[in-house]
Amino acid sequence: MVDQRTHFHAELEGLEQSIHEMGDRAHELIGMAVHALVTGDLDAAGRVREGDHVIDQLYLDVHNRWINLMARQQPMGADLRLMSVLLHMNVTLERTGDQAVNIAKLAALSHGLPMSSRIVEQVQEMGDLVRPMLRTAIESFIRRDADEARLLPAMDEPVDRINKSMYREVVALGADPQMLESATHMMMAARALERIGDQSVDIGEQVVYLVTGEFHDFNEEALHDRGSQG
Amino acid sequence: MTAVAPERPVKREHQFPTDDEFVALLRSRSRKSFVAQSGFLLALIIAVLALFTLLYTVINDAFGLVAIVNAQNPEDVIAELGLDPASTSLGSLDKDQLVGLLEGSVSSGVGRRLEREQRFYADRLVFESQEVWDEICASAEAPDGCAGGVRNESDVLALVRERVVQPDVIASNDLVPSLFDRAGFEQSVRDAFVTSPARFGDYTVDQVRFEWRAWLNLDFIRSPQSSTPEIAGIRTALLGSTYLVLITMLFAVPVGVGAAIYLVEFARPSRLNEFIQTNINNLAGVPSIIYGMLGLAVLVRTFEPLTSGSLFLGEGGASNGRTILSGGITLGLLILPVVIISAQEALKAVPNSLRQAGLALGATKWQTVRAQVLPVALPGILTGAILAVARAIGETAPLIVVGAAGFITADPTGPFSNYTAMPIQIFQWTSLPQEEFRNIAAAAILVLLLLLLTLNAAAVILRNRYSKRA
Amino acid sequence: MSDTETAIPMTDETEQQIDITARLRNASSTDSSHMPMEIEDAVIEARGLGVYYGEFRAVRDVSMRFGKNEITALIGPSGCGKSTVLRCFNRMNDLIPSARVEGTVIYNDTNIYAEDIDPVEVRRRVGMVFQKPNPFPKSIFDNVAWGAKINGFKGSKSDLGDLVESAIRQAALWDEVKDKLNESGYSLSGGQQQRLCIARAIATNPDVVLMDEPASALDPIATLRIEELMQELKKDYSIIIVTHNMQQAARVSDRTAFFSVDVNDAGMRTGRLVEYGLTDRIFTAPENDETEQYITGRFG
Repeated sequence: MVDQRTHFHAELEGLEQSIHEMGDRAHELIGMAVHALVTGDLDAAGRVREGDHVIDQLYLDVHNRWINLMARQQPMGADLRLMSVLLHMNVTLERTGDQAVNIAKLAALSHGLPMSSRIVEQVQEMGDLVRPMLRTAIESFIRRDADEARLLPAMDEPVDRINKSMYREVVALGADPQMLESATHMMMAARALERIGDQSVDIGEQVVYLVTGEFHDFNEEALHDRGSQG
Repeated sequence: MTAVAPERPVKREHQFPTDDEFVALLRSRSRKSFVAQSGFLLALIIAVLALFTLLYTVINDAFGLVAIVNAQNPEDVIAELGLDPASTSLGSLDKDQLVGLLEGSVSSGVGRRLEREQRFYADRLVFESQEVWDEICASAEAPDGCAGGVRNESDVLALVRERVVQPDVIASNDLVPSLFDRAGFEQSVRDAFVTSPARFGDYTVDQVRFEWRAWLNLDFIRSPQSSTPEIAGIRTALLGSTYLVLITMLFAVPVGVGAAIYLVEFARPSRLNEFIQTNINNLAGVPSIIYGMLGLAVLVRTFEPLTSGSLFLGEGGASNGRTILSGGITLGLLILPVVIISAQEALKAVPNSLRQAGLALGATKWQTVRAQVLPVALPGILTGAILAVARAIGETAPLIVVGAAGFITADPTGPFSNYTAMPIQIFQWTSLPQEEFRNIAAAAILVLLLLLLTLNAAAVILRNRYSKRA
Repeated sequence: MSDTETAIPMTDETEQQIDITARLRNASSTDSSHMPMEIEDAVIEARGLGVYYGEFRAVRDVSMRFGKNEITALIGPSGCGKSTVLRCFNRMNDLIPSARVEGTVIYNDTNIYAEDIDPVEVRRRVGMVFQKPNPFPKSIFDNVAWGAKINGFKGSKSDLGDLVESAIRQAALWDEVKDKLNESGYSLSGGQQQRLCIARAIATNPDVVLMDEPASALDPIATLRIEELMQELKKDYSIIIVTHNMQQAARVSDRTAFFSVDVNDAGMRTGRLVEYGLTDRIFTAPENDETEQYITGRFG
């Protein structure tokens, strides 16, 4: 059957390309922000803010194109699901960019403060865990691979674990006010990274919806699984 | 402007009949339906019966047994030639034998007259000597035979039947009694010889032969009018009707279709056009005799120089305006309103979208009408025209008024000839006393019916072919 | 994106949302769309256009410009005069004896309602496609060739063949009919017939093609094909389409004009132009309340 809506489908594809680009840029920003925080590289922190500005522009552009496309083309079926997923991912990825900026700001605030190397290592590890998550989320979206998307909750578990252990680490630092300030910043950065992990899981949920047409909340499923095991 | 939710309509169950009431009601409704249907069927049966009665009467008259007295019986003629009458008939003789029979039977005066009408052979003369022939043909009033043209075998055979056998029908019988009571007819003829021998002159009852006769036959169509019913034919009237129809069509179709095109395609709605339209509709209902009187006053009298042809042909024209031209145009006027109305209907039936499509492409009105509207309307226009012409063929009254001849044996030769037409001929025959004229009138009616049927069939075929193509 | 001078960065997402919404509002007021609202290169312009049928005023005071190589949709509730306005642009209203047009329609720097303008001249330049497919009862070839012939096509017989082929190709019908050009136009399906009518309209080499609800008699797939075709055609022609199908206007057009209808005390209905703008704008954020109510189905 011949495609009767080539113009619409071309525009839809263009929209998806923009989302891919946002995903790539967000992925890059996370790495850059964690690097800035861990090494105290203020140039990198500045580049993160510039990068987020590009993501924000993309966000606005996608939003405008999305609403026009929705108003004018009345998508149906798979196209409609894709539109819904694109809108969701647009918001999610914009926030991912914001989280990267937050981490970069923490890098600036922490500049010159003494740091607990153990905590820094943990933040670094979280960064190393979260970036592949976002990559997996975007890749599974590009390939429409629901099975790959379903791996994300499991990938998120170590991130959550490290985030929870951070609190104990910070308390253990004791009374050094300078150390405490930098450690608090690190905790906030860990929280930002934990949010990025959650956002990747959200994207995974969207991918499963896009492919199967049914929406599953991964967290609830995980709870349910645990409940039935225990 | 603000949306107001409409009040929810109530279901009105109580205002409808209950199931039992409904069943009773339904029964009465079905009964009424059945009564109506039966009424329509009855109407149809009456119509079909009327039609069959008409056909029955005509066919009954046109065929049947006749009692004939021959001057010479064909068997005797064949026996005289030395042939066996049992295995040979007049029809199987060759031309030379037939001419020989004529030579032996007709007077030399009659023979010469026949030869002057038309020669028997191209290379030799039978009744006339060559010298006299040349002299006659050299004279100012050379007869038709001089123009050449030779009688063929069937012409000669007809002459032999007419001049040698000379059949005289003394009584005829209708088809149905002939089929079922042949003996009764024969007996009644024999009885007539006993009771009133004067009716039959010199004939004796022994000379009477009973034969089947189809009054409608090829000879009937080929022969001209005659005062003797046995040899009288429809040719003159058939040719007259053909000429009339041609002139009627040539006049009514272009004028009628042209007027219709103007009214439908070009005229803007105005008082005047409405008035014209109303008049056309009313004219279609005017009795045909009125058209005859119009034709008489205007065409035959006022425009006599034109309709008699004297304006173009001088003395060669007809003596007065009672010509085919007058008759044809009168009939044309008669059917003109019908042609206009049917053509208008055909044009109006063409979807407006076609006109719009044409005009939207930058065509002028006439380009659109000619290329897009007319082709679609044509079958309808032609159907209407043919049906109108068919009506004209059957018209009698106006032709009587504009002077179709009742008795004429000369074939019409052109628009300025005097003429007769089939319905006139039938009318004239039925008013004659001899029984045999009733038979040939029936035969003529059959010919007329066949002609009408052919025209109607042509209309149907035309319509079907075009509507399939579109 | 939040204020960088703050000592501790805000992670509060609601605040960020507010910020984004504000920026969005700014962004949409300076629409980044490639098409400016002001039409520089108008192909047709109506000035103070009004139509009367006898004493009855069907449309009043329409002034608008139609962009070259754009698709402009006229939408509105029934009786709003959108078709009447469309038919002013090729003077098809002249065919209705009681119709009278006031105001001017400028095409090619000329008022097509000027005294010395023959409507036939206008219609060659402004083609039209109708609601119901109305091919001529002729062969497919003749359907397309006729318009050129009557307008004095000067080329040879083979030129005419080329013209017909290119028109049918442009109408995206060639592959379906190339082997049966001599068959009747009626042998085609409804959608094909409509594309044949489009081929016929563009074969006279017009500048503008008017379409009066061109897909309303077609099934959804045939409708989509016509819509796709329009996107191709606008590269060569300017298209004005009347449609009662809002979604269709949204899908195909670059600009949309919304007409509404006023009913006076005597029950006479007079159409008027309410809002005219980029289609993106009309269907996402119309400026006029009436337009908003119409497109959201709360009126009309």
